[in-house]
Amino acid sequence: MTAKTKAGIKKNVVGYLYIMPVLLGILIFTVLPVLYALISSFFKTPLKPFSLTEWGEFVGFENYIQNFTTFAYRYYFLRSLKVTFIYAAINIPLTMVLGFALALLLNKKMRGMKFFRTLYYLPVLIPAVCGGMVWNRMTNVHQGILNGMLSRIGLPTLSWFSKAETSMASFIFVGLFQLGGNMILWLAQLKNVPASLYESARLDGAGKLRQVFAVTIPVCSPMILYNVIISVIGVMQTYAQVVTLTGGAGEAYSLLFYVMNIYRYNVTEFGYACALSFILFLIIAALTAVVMKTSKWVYYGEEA
Amino acid sequence: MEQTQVLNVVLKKKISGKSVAGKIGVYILLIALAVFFIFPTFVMIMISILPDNEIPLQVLFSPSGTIYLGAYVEIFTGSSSDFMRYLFNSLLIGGITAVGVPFMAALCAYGFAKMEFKGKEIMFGIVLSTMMIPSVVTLIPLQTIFMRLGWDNTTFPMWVPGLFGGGAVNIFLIRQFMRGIPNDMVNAAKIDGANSFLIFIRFMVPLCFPIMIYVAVNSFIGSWSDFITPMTYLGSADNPAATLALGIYEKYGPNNTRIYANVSMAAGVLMTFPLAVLFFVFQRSLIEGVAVTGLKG
Repeated sequence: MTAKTKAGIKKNVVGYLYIMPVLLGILIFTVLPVLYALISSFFKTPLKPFSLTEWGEFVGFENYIQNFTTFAYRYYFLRSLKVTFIYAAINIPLTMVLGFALALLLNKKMRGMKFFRTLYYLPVLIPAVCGGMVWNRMTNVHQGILNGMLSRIGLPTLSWFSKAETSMASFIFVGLFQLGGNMILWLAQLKNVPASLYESARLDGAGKLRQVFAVTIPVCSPMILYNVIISVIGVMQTYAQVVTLTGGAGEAYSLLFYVMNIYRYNVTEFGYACALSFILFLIIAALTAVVMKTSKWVYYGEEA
Repeated sequence: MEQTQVLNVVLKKKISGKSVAGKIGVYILLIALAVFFIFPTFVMIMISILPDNEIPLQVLFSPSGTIYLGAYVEIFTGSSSDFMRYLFNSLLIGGITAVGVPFMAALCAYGFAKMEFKGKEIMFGIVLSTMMIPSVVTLIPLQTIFMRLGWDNTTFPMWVPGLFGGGAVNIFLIRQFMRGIPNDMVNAAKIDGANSFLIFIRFMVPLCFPIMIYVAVNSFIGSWSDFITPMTYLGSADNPAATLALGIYEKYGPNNTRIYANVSMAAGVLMTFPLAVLFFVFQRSLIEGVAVTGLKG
């Protein structure tokens, strides 16, 4: 063996040694569990310690099929799917538009903008458990501070999370307090828009609003696409925010999100829970693909 | 001629007058929004210092003007309070995460940024693709693995996975940062006989410190707030490894109606306070990080 090939081998070994932790991590904490869940989804089994010999009773595609044919499963599956979709369909566009509006406001060259930016971002930092507790107490129909304030100024009180009709609207309202995160993303993008583009748009006689649609949004469109995808993946997995706010009681009031449905079964019917999580995986992948396919509106700048 | 000049002056005045009014309007809007965003935090703090008997009054300010700290005392010294145990576990997990995650992520990022080996691009693609896998798909089956390892009553599930590479996003971030460091420096050190690990410790870590601090703070905040992991793997707050998120949810959260609102809110204040301090210290780095990664934690 020549010295050159020896050095080459050593180079490869050293390189792989550095990335070994992440490769092992992917193998143990991603590939292994995903494969285990995939196989388990074809078995009827309760939750039990990992084992390559004991899988439970083989049922083929039964866990997937029962999801659509057996009433008890179908009922919760469809309900959770509907709740999650409604939330995603309203929440993602709403937070993007409002986050954009906030960023436009904060992008004005005036004193104190950094201070306001910090204040608006602060609620994003509050752990879901604490935020949930506060909102749970505040929206209490009889003792909550919000209804107390409403009745003091002579307005009718609201039913918040105590009725199916108002639960989703209340949940979306509570989510608005996290707008600061979206705002920061937009602010960073706005800084990237070259001033010269605004200048030429202005010379062409474009007003402020026109400039937003003709310059700002096209330049920011790659970030919008990226943000839509990340939001879809995140929002479809909504869990902690609902559970910590309603203590799980929201299930009965039209707040049964998809992941909450998985947690109904993960101990008693582990195989079925795995099937449910794969169905969610497919839904998210399909949604991402649709977003990518319809992304002709994204502007990637002039090809240089 | 004169007329147009006068007109111009008048117009300018009008415009500047309009813009002053506009500015005041913007500030009023900004302040109104600030009140909106701060409201829940303000409520949490105000109710946490209300005396027990004034809570049913649905007020934010004590009518009798008392500032009551009994809720905080109860959390720390109450006979059935496990708050100190939750706090200890969360600090332990957060501490290991804040040191381990940036270090391990930097190690892997160094491999991807400065080493040459076969299949590097493919490996990096694989690492990035794990970002697309929804966490639920691994969360549920991982429980079987943790059960097999006997980790049911330990803090391991909350920090061990993080040490394996520190997550794709963090590796990506640090790699980007390292690519900005000129190779000449690395090569010069190599000629001096330093091996790649020495170069990593002596040059890369100090040079990447800003981004590593960001990863550290962000990882700490993430692990401190994480609810779904301890909930899934530990099950209940009675578990000796229960963290603040799980413990507070069960003992002071929506399902425990016997707890007074002031105690509940005080628990929330105590859990949020360390994050608020971190945020104010590392504000710039955190906000820029959100802008770069597009992830809001």
